[in-house]
Amino acid sequence: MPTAEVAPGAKRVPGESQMRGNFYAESSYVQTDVLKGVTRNRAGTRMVCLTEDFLHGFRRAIQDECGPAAETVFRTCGRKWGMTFAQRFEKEMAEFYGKPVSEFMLALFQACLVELFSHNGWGKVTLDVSRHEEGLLIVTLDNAIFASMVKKADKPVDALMAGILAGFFSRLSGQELDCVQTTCKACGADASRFIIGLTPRLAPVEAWVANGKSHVEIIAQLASVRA
Amino acid sequence: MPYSNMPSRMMQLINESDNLYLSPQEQEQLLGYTRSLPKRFQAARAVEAKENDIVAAALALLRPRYPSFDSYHEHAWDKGHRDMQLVLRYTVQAMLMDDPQVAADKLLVWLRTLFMNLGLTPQFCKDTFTFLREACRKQLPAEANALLDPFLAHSIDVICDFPEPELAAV
Repeated sequence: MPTAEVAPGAKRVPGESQMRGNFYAESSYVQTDVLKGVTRNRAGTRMVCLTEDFLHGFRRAIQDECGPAAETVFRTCGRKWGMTFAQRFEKEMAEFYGKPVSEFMLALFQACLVELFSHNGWGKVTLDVSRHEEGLLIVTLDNAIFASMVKKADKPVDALMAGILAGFFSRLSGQELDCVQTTCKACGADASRFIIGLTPRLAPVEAWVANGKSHVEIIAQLASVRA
Repeated sequence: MPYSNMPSRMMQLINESDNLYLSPQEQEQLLGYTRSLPKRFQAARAVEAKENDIVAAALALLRPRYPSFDSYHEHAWDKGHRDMQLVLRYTVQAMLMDDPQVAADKLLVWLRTLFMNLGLTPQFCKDTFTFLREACRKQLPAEANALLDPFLAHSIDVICDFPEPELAAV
């Protein structure tokens, strides 16, 4: 992958070394060598597509094997996966844009995060940082994969994604964070929503969701308690 | 040239004709595109030669309209200059490939998210890139502008297509 470089004639912005477009541009992001049967992204990371059939099978297998512990298994797997995902994101972004993600302005980070999720087929993500001062991040995910597949459920089904988000933001923030899903399309909501925060703070949230508290009520209750 | 990097028009025709030979009409379409390439390159060179003047002229129109812009963002006008360059360069790529989707894919959708999260308004973006379009119209040879303008119009449509921010920062 070509590393960040200053394009000829580009306007230099103090503190910034790049003048580049979207790392995830579909025409450049994924290339398949059909002779080798290998698909890689533009950073050289090998990728593979998983069908809904596979994911259905994966979900059923974990549920059959783990019973009531399945959600915890999804969350734990997701967490590890999310950590690795973030590590790769940090590496690829730093190489491409020429500075560490920790030095990205927030809007650039958000734009790259949206593209990361959408180009990997995880859905359309929106990151709400307006509760940052209160120690909370809110993520809305349209077309979340499991919520789209399961169709109808009586409790949120994106435990894997909750784990991924927890691991992802734990890695980027350097803090042990947790993530709880508060709404789910499979339960009739318009999108899947997640709250990310410190583990002890989010401890009661799962019970609140089970007891029927709305996303807005949960945010308000969490915000009323100091971080 | 790898198959996936073929010019969009050629790629589209090859995909559509699948297990067939190209029809005379399809061959003519491709030849028309290849015959247009020297003019497209000429237009691209004209934009490159005038890039700084075009962006400077657009900024000169924009600054008085948004006098507080740099109080909201660090190095606001430098970044504005850079972003106009980016839009211009990727729009030129789209014009070369005769495919507006090239700019949307490689830059505009991503940049639009970035603008939205910075608190820029759709109107601010429309003004910015309409001034850029006007500057192109004034500073480029007519033939070059005629090739570029439809792609620039499409780029403006894409980049301004986002909701009003809760707190505007322009």
